[in-house]
Amino acid sequence: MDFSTVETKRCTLVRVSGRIDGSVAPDFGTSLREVTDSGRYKLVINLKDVNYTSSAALRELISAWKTCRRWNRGDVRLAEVNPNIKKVLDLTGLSTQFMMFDTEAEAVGSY
Amino acid sequence: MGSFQSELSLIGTFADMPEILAFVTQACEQARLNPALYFDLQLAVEEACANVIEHAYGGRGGDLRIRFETQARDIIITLQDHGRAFDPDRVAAPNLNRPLAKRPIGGLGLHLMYQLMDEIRFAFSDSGNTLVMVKRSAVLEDHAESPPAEVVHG
Repeated sequence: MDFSTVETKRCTLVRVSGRIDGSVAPDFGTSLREVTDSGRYKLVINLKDVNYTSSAALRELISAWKTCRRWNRGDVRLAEVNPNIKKVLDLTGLSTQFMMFDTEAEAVGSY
Repeated sequence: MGSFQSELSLIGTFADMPEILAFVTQACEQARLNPALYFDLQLAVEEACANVIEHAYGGRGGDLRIRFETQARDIIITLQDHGRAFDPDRVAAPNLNRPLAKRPIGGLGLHLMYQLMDEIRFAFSDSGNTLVMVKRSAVLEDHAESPPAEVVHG
């Protein structure tokens, strides 16, 4: 898994790639916490290049979502979610909870 | 009609998930399953293994055997472990209609397994715990009657 961030005027853009299985999901969570611990709560996570994820990664996404939404200080929005990941989000009822956008630009512009 | 069989035996921990998922992919290819199902089967097996590692073995890991076999066009995946027995009936199904802010962070793995597979059976005895997951009509129709040889890993 690769994880990088880009600061924009409105939010922090997180780009992740690779497979997020149970062996690397804790690293994904640690990287997300490093972002929120530095006071950045408006996040866009681009999942275009994530081709596998399990409930272990969903736990980290939900945890980040709860941290960011606390006191209305921010949000976690998803961009360019690939079909397999969309399926997992649908099956777990998360696709109605996370705001999702077809493009990174739309997601960044939503803040 | 013969059947395909492949097995992986390991002392399973979370660090082994890439090896487990690589085994699933290889078994799917060798059993000539519909490629549209590879992702679903990887996910169901990961969730099942994660439950064993986390709940049966308390996160430390332990012996784990994963077996793929075909019966006609069905794929049957069997997991065996010797950890603490786990009663799936005591796990509350997640309420997917509840607002996310009020939902617990975990509890989705078992739900995903039930969603992805056609049949799931748990059995517990003194000789260990067994989970059987079945996906029906998984083998591509052209290949249902020409199974490859048995493969054993681990």
